[in-house]
Amino acid sequence: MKIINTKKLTKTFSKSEFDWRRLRFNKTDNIAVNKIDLEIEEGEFIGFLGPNGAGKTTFLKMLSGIIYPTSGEARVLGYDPFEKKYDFLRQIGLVMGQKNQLWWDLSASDSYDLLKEIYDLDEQTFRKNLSEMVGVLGMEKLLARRVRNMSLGERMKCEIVASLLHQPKVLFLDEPTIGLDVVSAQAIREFLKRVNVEKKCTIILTSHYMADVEALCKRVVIINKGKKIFDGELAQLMQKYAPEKRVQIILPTLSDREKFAHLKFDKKLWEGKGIISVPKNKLKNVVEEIFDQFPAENILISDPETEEVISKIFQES
Amino acid sequence: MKKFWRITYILYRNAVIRDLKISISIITGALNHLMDGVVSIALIFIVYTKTDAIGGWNIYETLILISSMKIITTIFSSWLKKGTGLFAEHMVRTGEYDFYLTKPFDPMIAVSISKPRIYNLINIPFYVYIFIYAINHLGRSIPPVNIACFFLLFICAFLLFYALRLITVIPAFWIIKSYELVSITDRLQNVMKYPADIYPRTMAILLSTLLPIFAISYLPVKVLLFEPRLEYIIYTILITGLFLLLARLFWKFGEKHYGSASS
Repeated sequence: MKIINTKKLTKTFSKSEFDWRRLRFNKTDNIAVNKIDLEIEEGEFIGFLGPNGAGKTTFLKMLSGIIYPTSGEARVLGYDPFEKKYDFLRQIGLVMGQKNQLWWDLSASDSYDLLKEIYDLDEQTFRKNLSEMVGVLGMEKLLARRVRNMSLGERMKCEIVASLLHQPKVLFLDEPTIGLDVVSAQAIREFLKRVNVEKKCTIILTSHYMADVEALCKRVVIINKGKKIFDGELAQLMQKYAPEKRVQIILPTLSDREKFAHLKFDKKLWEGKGIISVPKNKLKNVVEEIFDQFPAENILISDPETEEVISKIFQES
Repeated sequence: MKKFWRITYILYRNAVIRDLKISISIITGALNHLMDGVVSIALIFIVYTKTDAIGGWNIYETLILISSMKIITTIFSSWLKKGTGLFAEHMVRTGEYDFYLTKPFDPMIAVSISKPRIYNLINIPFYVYIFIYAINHLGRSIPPVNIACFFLLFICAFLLFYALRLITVIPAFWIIKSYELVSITDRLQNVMKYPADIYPRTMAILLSTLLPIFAISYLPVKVLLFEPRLEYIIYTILITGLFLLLARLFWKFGEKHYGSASS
């Protein structure tokens, strides 16, 4: 079942400045999101990737009803998000990595009490949902601590719990792991994965971090300058934009480096390693020749880094 | 409505928990408000040592007027002032308003009641005392119908003051630095301290229509102390309804232009 559907969704930000010389207003338009069509199925975990200012967050804010589109249409859970109907708002959650919804000077549990009333949760459901999430995230000791005394990772755990207390059907995540250390980011990723699988919650994630998308999202949408430039599975993306394998050879001796220099493939030398990018259909021939000339333990065959591929796409677009 | 009061209760409870953790803010805030109340009332006593009446109102009538107005503005400042002020000054600029828009609770109301200040209420017993003291010294009995009309108009006055405040903060949807406008409602309190009869005709018309300040302080006390004329009651209810409607429509219109803040 399609849970989100957009047709030519567009957002233009206009800015007017008064020109005192000509005594008139000058209006400048910035197209943040440009005619994006998108369909998302129930239960998907979809990642939005794009450089700063690409339009990811603006698109997410239109889907959650925060900002009105300039043109086009969007349906989320069968509702027009901009009408902000109670039943729609009751079924969505929002986490913003760089903003707080919890009271800064209070404990997280004080903020949760407020959310319980806002979402009309009965005491039993509220306690059950809260204790379940607190247990999984291991944040029993955090509940009584003031939000401003928490680390960024701890705060983000509390923010995510706040957005899931009412068990939303759709969760919007805007860079939830920004600034987090590896351990905290990993804990949050695992928790989100669990929510997606166990609660069948559709999750829309925007992130700068490839690690988030690789770990969580089967499907990715790449946005640049407001336009959708790719929509499909991550594996497809790699197939389309990186149809090559990377062969790395460690070259510890001068004679190894000389042998590498005589190879007839497209190659480069970087930090004592020889790197060859080989189209997959020619991999067999290349590998045979390399294994003939170099010890097997010095050879590594891999796919290019996803991050590298994405930045290549951004540069091309 | 039940949900609204439950949320209000939790917000006040959380505000108390927060303020108790920074108790110095309670003490300084309370002192500031108490000082303001004492000075306002003391000034009235000083003025009346030189005259018997202002605009035909004796000292007790003026004390009822000013204490009634202060009760309205004090409840307002404890309950709705900080939230609406922060909306214009901070929430739109930083994008904090985003969270209010994604909750199943009216964002205009949520913003308004979001930052209560419990210590602002410290003056309420003082103003209630002044109000009762002035009634007792008035030397005439007040019929129950006048009291009922007063309470009705008192509620209207509170809502009208809220509507005026909303109208001053809504431009923040378009112009981020428009938050200075919010102090207009603070300035208006100076006008509300005195009986309408002292103002020249053109100003009186302005203060009954475009800036209907008379409906906030003057008319409720007028119906309490003098004849509760039907036209006063109808006018106050209509002007309150009109300004609330205008504020609501203006807010909804502003929301369509809300651009949030970049991440």
